[in-house]
Amino acid sequence: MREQMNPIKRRRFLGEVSCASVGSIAALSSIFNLRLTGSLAAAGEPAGEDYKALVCIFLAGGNDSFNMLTPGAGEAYAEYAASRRSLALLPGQLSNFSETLPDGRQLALNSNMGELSALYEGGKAAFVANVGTLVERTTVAAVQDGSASLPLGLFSHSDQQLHWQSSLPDTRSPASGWGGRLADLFSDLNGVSGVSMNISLAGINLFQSSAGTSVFSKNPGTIPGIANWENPALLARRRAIESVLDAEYQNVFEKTFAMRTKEAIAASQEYRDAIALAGPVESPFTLTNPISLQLKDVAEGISARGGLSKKRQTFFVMAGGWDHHGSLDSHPAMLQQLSQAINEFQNAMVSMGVEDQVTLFTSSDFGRTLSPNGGGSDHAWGGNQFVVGGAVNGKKVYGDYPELALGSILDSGRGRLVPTTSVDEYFAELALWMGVSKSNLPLVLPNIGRFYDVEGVDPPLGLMNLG
Amino acid sequence: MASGVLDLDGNGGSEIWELHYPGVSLDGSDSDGDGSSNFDEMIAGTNPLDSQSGLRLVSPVLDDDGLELRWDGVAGKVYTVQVWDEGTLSWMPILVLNPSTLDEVRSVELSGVEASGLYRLTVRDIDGDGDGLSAWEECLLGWSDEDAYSSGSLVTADFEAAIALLEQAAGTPLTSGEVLPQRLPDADEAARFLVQTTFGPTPESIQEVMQLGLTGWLDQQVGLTTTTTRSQLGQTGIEASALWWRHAWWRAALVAPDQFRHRAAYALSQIFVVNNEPGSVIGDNAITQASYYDIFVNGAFGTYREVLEDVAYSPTMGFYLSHLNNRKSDLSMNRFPDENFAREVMQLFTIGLWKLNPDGSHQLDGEGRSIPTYDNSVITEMAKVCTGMSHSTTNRGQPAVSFYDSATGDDYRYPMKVWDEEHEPGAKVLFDGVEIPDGQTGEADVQQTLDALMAHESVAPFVSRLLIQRFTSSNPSPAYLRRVSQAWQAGNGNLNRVLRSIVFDPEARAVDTGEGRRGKVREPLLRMIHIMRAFELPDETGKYGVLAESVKRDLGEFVMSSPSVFNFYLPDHSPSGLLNELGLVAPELQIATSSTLLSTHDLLKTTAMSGHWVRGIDYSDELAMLGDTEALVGHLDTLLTYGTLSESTKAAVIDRINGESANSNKVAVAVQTIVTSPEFSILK
Repeated sequence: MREQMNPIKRRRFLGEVSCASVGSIAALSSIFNLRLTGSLAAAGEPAGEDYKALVCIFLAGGNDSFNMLTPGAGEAYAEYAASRRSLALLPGQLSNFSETLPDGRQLALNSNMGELSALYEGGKAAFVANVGTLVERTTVAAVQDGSASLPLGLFSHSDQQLHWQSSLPDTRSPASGWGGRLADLFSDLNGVSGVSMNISLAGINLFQSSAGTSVFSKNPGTIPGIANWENPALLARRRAIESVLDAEYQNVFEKTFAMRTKEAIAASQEYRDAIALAGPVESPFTLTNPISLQLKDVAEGISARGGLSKKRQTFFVMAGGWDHHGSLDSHPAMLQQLSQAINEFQNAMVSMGVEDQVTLFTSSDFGRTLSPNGGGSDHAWGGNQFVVGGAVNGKKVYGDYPELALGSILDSGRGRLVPTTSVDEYFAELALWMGVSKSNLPLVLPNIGRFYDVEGVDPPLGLMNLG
Repeated sequence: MASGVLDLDGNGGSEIWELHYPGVSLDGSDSDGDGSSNFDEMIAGTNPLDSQSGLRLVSPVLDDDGLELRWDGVAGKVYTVQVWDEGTLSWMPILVLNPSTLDEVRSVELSGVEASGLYRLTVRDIDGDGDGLSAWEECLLGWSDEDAYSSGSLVTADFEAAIALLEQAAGTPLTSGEVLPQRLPDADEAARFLVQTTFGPTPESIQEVMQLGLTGWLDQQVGLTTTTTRSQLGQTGIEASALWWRHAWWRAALVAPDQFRHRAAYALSQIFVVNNEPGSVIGDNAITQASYYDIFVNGAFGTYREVLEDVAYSPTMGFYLSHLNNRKSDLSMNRFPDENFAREVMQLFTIGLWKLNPDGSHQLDGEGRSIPTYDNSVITEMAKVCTGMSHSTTNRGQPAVSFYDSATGDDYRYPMKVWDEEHEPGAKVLFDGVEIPDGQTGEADVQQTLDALMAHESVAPFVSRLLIQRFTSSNPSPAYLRRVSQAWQAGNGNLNRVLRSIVFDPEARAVDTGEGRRGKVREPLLRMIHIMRAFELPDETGKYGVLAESVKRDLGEFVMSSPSVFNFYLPDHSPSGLLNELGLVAPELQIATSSTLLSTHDLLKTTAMSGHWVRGIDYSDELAMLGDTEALVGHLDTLLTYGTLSESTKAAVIDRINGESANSNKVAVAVQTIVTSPEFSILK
């Protein structure tokens, strides 16, 4: 829970990093850079508040995102309809974008996402097309003849979720997520606090975890804490609990349990104080919408940034139920919920004056097969994601929107599309925006060099306004 | 091989030796004053009460042939001759003598040695077959240290057989003709065993285990009449509703006599995960819910194959992983079979993603890479096998006549049927080239596929690890997992044998006194029920229910309510920090968020103060002990933490008792302090 460790622990952590990379001058110099990042970033922001936050919405189960961002007309639509058959949306169920892609293709958004459509047209949202986990760029032929290095456990939910959250698809059990590594980098920039830079509304997750960072995880709509902890009449109870938790334990599970409980008590207290100081979030949220319920707490955590001494934060929100094997019937309504919640959040950011400092982005296990299995679709690979916020170079689709004909150049079978943009490129753009220097990108995204030249002048995708 | 000994009390000594020399302490003392501590004499297999008995060289002879060393050898011990090496300033082994099966004079001839050399003889135990018993112990029992199943039973491993022998009333006959006295567990050993095998010890069950022994009590458990959750529905004292089944489950967990069966069922429900929460056709019908869960209750001591088959044919699983109404391909429609169940039946229910050795390590290819058990083409083939499955009944139990017959909620309690009209024709090629031939019925395809899954080398280690994690240890050693895989093979996937091998393993029996890496975080739900079983009043109205939504929110879990088929936590979850640095996993900590740690803490405290829902807490036995605080704390320590409370926690408990002015609250505050402690939260 403590992402800002005391100075001794902090040194120990850095020491361990350098031990782990003995013999690598590059790694040692990276750590030097790492320490510099804080002061440089702070010095580089003469005016205004240096604050930035990333909000990850994880659509667990694998969003059928070719029914979210869809061809809207012409040959591309005909191919889409031919591939998806019973799953294909009708033109009346689509809202065409006001501008076509540069190649002339007309794309459209599922018409249940009216709010997102408006954000897109207003330049506050952008899409990343056919993005997925990649060990290296590859082709259908290489996948089929077995010569491609593929993500381990490709098409499996649990593995692909870990890979999306870690950006380490060639690792069997990734130990850290890219948001966790981001937090390690920014720990000097943030002030001392028991509440982690990484706040989750959806439990412990790999995205926000790393060796030096744990997740402050709260249940949506509640404030964590032990009831009546401060009640002076119950001081004896508190003392007893504290003395039990403070004791030295030999067993590593007991030790961990005691430490985590202590940290949770301290962090929840601090969080309570910080949100009380910040006051309530006034902008409205529909609390019957489970995504809105979580995003309201994200807004609250952002408004509490002063009390929590944070210049950088990440938030993790999860929406489940996207594994539409049996039927896509509920998919449009889920997209509607998502669109509504995102719009409410964006409105809150505008009213809080942090629109340009907060970026929301989606992730999901994988795309789904274009061909149906009857009423639903199965696990596939590349899919479409979107990004929302004032700093987004909006009204644009990044990456290559694929051909959707079965048997097309990217179809590895049943319309399982080989991704043309890696999650590394997608996340690199977000990490750079957060203030990670290009030379430090490999600390956050170790595989980035396989997809992007960190020495080059161009940004990975151009998705974000990097100032 | 590591040298295991049959140590049940965690003092590092063999129980067989301790029974042989009753009252001889292993705390470092030297009862016969011969210069070797009792502990050292145990290792040497010599008599700690006879100063003439010990590891001694007799008549070393140095002649032209060399040096001859002789000593009285003990059966089952490994002797090593070492020489002092001036170069490295250390003892270097020059000869290792494998154990003999008899007590006899042992000798070695060392030729070409220098007369001035410094030699010594060392002795140690060995466990050649890795079954947890030392060769010395196996020699005394007349068993073999080269075969983990040498006691005469083909399905009971030697470690369990030895515990059973020690616990039998007639005592343990040794090959020497001597008979060791009966050894029964003490209250702490019994309570710890009950924490592992039930929803929590009660004073009565502790007494039972102490009288019957661990093995006798477990035999009795397995023989008890099965309490199905369906049978509990009518006894919950509440009206039928979508939550009815949950009350039935709660009642079974709290008061069903066949506790081991119910712990096993609960563990299986965390492998064959289905979400039964209200709001779906499977969540709104209590009898359907009972029918699914009772697969595990009824199957807890049968074969894994039977459970797998019942799950595969269950419309509840069919609904959840969408192979219910799965139709054959129709290429004119671009329609392909649903891959959902096809994938998870391999990945989560049987063989996992990687080919495993019996000890759980990955098999490697020529380039040192892990070998996947299947690729995506196998999933599409497996999906074809799973086509044609639909309801066998229609209109509440009337026989269906086709794949397409409609079904009501009540039809979900009957197994599905494989209808050939929608079953994919043609041959299917599965993992490892297993071929399901063309021209069979769909039923034959499914049965043959289930057989092939069970025949896969990964099933035993993959499933055994999941079960070990639920019962005893988050991080079983490779040797532990190998022993359980071996029991799986010996019993042909019989779960009674597998579960017994899990709880009667050397790594599960003795409290970890070593590096403190053994054990696991106990699920919050199990901790809560432990308190209720230990102290709560039975309810005359039969209301054993639970406010499921608040319990799930506060604990982060509730039976059959996982957010996905991946259960509440992943088997490989390794929390950042100390555990991750040590390479250890702690699945249950995945739900121990900042919020949940504290809400669980509060719920356990509330439960200790006033019980849950309509049932009150009963501290009458404990209140009667208030005059003797030490005895009271000892009693609670046994009942809640099987004697593992640290001195500092005990001190905090005593402070709370003394500081509480109202006598009626003194026990409650003591229990509150214990149930929020790390000792109660961790099974070690």
